Formats: sequence, structure tokens, C-alpha cells
Amino acid sequence: MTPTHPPTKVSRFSVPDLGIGVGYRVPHYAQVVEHRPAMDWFEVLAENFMVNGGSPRFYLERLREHYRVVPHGVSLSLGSDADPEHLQRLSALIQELRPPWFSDHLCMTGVSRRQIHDLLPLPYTPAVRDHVVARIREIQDRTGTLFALENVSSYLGYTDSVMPEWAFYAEVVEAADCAMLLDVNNVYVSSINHGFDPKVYLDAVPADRVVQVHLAGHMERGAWRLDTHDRPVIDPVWALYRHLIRRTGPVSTLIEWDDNIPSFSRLQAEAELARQHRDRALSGAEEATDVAG
Amino acid sequence: MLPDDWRRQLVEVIRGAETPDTSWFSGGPHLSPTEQIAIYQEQYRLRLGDALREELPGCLHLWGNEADAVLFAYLNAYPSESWTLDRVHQHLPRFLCETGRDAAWIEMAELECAVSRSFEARDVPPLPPEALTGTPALALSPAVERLRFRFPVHRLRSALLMEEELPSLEEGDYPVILCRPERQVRHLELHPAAWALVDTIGQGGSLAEALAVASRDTDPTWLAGQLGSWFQLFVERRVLVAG
Repeated sequence: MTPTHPPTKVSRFSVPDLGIGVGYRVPHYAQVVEHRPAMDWFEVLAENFMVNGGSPRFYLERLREHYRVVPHGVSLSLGSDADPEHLQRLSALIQELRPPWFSDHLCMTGVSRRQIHDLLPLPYTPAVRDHVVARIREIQDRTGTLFALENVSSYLGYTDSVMPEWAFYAEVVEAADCAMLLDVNNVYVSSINHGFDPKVYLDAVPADRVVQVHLAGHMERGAWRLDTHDRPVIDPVWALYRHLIRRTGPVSTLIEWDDNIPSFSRLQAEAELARQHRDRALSGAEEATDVAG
Repeated sequence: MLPDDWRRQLVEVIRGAETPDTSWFSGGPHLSPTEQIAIYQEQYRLRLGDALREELPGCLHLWGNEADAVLFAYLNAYPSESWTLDRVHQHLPRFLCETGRDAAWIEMAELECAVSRSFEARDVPPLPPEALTGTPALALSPAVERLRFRFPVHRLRSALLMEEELPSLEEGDYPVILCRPERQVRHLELHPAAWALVDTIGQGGSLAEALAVASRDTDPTWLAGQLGSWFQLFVERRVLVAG
């Protein structure tokens, strides 16, 4: 290990470092609101709470009484046209929660009256970039809240693309003047599937726009990887996370675990592991062994 | 080059409704364009299939070995239109009618769609018992759904969820409402007169009008003896709210 200067926060945005959080998922609702286990913050899946009432609203209101909450969406479909009802409900949720930021993905989930509910990558072209930028600007203007754009994991690329994903991602967030939610696991999964160096990706994104990091587990499917969020984070992803944190400084970090959801204590353990990796990166120690993949 | 409507075409390819033009896709170090598209097609079927199975335990039971065939025929006929997976099944009763399926299948689909609507309906303050004195203006809670079945699909669904002995689907008249006390959707099987009372209030009728409808074909003495317990039940189960 070679000691270097500890990284300091480089964000251009006035948003707090929330620490290490986890996703608020149905199997844990009652335990969290009744027992208030230790956790820095929670991310809530926005669409689950964009309903008129009932159990989801009850558990969101109880959660907010004791924890910091940031909404994360999956249905903005920035690569296609806006759904007015979705935008209205999302805006109402954001006005209610008043989060420091909210997030969704750099992707398309469907077109009008045809939804596939998956995060489809986009062709990396100037025309698509301009479309996404316009959508983000409209959303930020409407909500008055900082938007963080998340990279997706992907299994296909387009012959029309004229730039790599990281260049497209950087151009979008710069032109839209929004923040980044950088999913390190997604970078790793896509790097295997498309054959690029994940560190090139992490080094190319504007570090001062990263306000949040996602970490998750994925599945090996022979030579390629499927993003499943159903298991622990693997060592190469932890190494990439430390690499990123040395660029960004302390950034709010979240463990995503959405399938085969374990006990809350297991999630707490994974979050604690993330804290240790983050602290290690922030300590200024540079490791020759931090090579992912 | 991708055509202007690449978005729509790509979605149709993922749904399996159109054949992919593989020249759109670059392939990768491990997978051909066709294999890449197949991943998204598989994920689409898994995600949408799982969403439907979660909402339709009663239908799955009735469909038996045909379940997957019915699910994906429905998805092909009625693709998801909404940003939320919670509405994927909303046209299922219509689809089952259009395809000439059993009445019990259609009624179970209507019940499970109604359960979904009730689950996320707007919250309103409960009606205090003392509010029933006099002739109060009443309305139904937004979580209340009124259903009238030929087959006791509500009993079957409850038994399935509670892992109890399954009832037979004997044809008859089953007046049912769904309500949501304490955030849990429950069914209440009512006497026809009680159902008529609730139904009239649900249509915007006054309490006096509801009582008049409920008293049709009902012995007035017997009805008078029932009203107290009915209204107590409707308050406890949050069926009635202030109008």
C-alpha cells in the first residue's frame, strides 16, 4: 500500500453524504418501522409508493419519521416520451418527501401503451443524447429537485452508437446539469458483457457529479453476467468501489438487494462491509492490488 | 441506421411480437446479436409472468396446467400499458370474456383485479360509531369494491391464501364486498339486502334511499333486527365513511 492524501468531498452539489444505506423492501417494512434498526438511510423504490393509499403509504410515512429517505425510480424511461400520469405522481412524491435528490436510469422502459418494464440501453448518438437531456431538464424544472442519472447494466449494444457508454453518460449529465448515481456493479457487469475496462469507465465520468453509488450482486451466466441483485457484492466490485471513492470522496452509498432478499441483519452486515471499503478508500491508502476483473 | 420509430420496434421485438433486425445490434465478445436480444426477451417473460402470478393466485389455481399458456396469451393480447406492474392484469377479465373462458375464471379475475384496486385505494378517516346517530351523510370508503358472483371465488381465494380446505365452486348468488380494515384487503359476503344497502350508498344514494332499496323483498321486522349489527360491521371494517 502506498499512502496518499485522503480524498475529500469533490461534489459540485450541495447535497449531504448520507453514509451507507439499503433499499426499503416489503419483507422488512414491519421490522424497520417497529424496531428501527441501525441504518444511515433508506432508498425507496418510487413507483411502489406512487399510489393513493394503503399499506405502502403507511409504511413510507412511518419510515420517514425515523430515517433519511431518497426515492429511486425505474419508470421515467428517459429514452422515450414522458408519461404524464407517472410524472405527476412522481412529482407529488418528491414534493412530499423533499429529498436531497432523486434518481432514475439512463434507459428506456417502453413506449406509449407498450411497457416492457426493463431497463433497455440506448443508442449512444447525439440525437438520443439531446432527447434524454431535454427530458431530464424538464423533470428537474418540474420537481425543483436535483436529479441523479444512473447507468444501467446491459447485454446489447447498437451499431448506431458513435461513442462509448461512459462518454455518452458524461455528455448527458453535463448538458443536463444533473447529478450521477453511479452503479459500480452495473459498470462491472457491462464491462464483462461488452469487453471494456471498468476503470476506464470510472475514470472518465465527472467525479464531481456523483452524489450516490449503487452496489449489488450479480449472477455468472458462463462468459457473461446477469444483473440480479440477489446476492452479495463480489470482490472485484468492491475494488472498483474503492477506486471510485478515491476519485469522488465520501459519497452516499447504497446496497441493492432485490431478490432472494435476506434478513435485515444480513443487509446490515453488507452495509457495514461497504462502510469498511469506503473508509479504506477514504483513508488514502492506494492499493496496487485494487485491480478489478 | 435505426429508423425513427426504433423505440416502438425494439419494444415489439422484446415482446416477441416482431422479428429483430439483427443489423441493429453490435454483438459482443461473448454473445451474438440474436443471443443478446434473447436475454431481454427472457427477462421480459420472467418479469411480466412473475408480476401476474403474484397478483393472481386464485386464477393460477383455476387455470392449473394451462396457467402459463393463458398468462402469455393475455400478455400478447394486452401488453402492459402502464408505468406500474401493478396494473398489468387490469384487462384480464375482458380478455377471458373475449376468449370465451369459464364464468368462474372471469369472476376470479374480476375479484383479483378488485383486490389490487382496494389495496392501493386512497386512505380516509374511519367513521366514529357515534356518527351513525341520526341520518348521517354516508359514503363508501375508496377501498370498498362491490362484487356479485355466480361462483364463490372469494371463498376459494381466501382458502388458497390461508392454506385451508378448498371449497367447491357451487353455483348460486354471492353478494360480496371488499374492504380494507387495518391495511389488509378482506372480503365480506353479505346478505343480499345488506349488499343492496351498501351498493345504493356506493352509487351516491342517501341512507334513506339505501334503506328503502334494502327493504325490498325483505321482511321489515327481520331487517330492523339486522341493521344494528350490519352498521356496526360496516364501521368496524371501514366500509362506510363520512359522505
